[in-house]
Amino acid sequence: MDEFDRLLDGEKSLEEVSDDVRRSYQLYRKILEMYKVRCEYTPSERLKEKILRRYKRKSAVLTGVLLGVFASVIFVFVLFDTLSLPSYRKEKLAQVQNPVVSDVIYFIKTVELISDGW
Amino acid sequence: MKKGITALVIVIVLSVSAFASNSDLLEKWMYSNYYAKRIMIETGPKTRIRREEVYKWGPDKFVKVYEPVKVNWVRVGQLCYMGEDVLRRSPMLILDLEDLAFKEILQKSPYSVKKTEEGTLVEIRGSGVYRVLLDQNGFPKEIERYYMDTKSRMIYEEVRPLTSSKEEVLKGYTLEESEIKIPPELLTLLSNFRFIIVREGVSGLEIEGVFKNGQKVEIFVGTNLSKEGFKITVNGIDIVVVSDRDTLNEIKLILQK
Repeated sequence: MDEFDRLLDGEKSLEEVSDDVRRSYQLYRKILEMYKVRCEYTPSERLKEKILRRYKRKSAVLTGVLLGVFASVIFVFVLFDTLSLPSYRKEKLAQVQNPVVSDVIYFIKTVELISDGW
Repeated sequence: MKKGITALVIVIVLSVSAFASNSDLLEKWMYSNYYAKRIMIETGPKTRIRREEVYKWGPDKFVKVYEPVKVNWVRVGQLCYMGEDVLRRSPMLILDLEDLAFKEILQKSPYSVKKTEEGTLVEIRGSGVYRVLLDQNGFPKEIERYYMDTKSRMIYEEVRPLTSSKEEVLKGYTLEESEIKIPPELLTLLSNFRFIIVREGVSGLEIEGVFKNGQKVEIFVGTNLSKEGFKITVNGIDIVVVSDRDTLNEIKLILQK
């Protein structure tokens, strides 16, 4: 290993080192070249678009599903609230819309709070 | 003999003067003009607390209620108005504990007047027992009423003579003559209750109370009520009265009058 380091440091030439070290050096250079090729690689615009398209399609599907679920929840809520109202709630709503009854309720409730008898 | 007659005369003179001074104080109280802050606390089957300011001009009164609801009411002669800035005609008189005590005195319920260290104590035994503590000016310091297991206590603070006129105090308010429409049958019924508890129920308004005969009566007010009981419909409003048979018969008679 010491000999390999000296070769890399330039203290020894390729002719001066043993055969094992020379083979290791050649392997080292091959790996370096491969690594260089790997680092300098840039994907083509076509590939980029292809990947992005796949990602966008996935997120559009997810958004669609979420919107669908949300709309379904709202629809079910509205459906239950309007069509399946318990009868007492229907009566209450009807009374809220009847101004005469509201007046009566307001008056009696307020008088009960502010007066002490008749 | 002469001594006896003199003593009798002295007793009569003292009694008459004491009665006169007591009547004077009650009269002073009834016709007093004052401003006060007061708190009403009621405990019993229902608990209520009210915080308000009162302006009193003889029999007329303006009350600004702060708790439990922010609302004002004014009584001028036999007319009552209720609301916030615009006060609408109320179909029935609004009476506070003080007015009810006056009513008892005017209806000749027995009362006694006693001087105490804290002031003059007036005890009225009418429908309920009233204890009213007055100061030397005839201004109330405290009014208590015990009635049907209910104790109501009105505590007055910062009582001072009122120099402002009704017009000055009420200038920021509008008294509107359009009356709140309440079925007269309902008003007649309510005026025969000793006390009521009101709640907004599932089918409209539910009034539960003790009728003048001491029986429990429930009244349901709303539209299209399916409750069983004595039912009347006035201007599209259903009024259903639920009680025992005798009380319902009494109620029917009252409504027929």
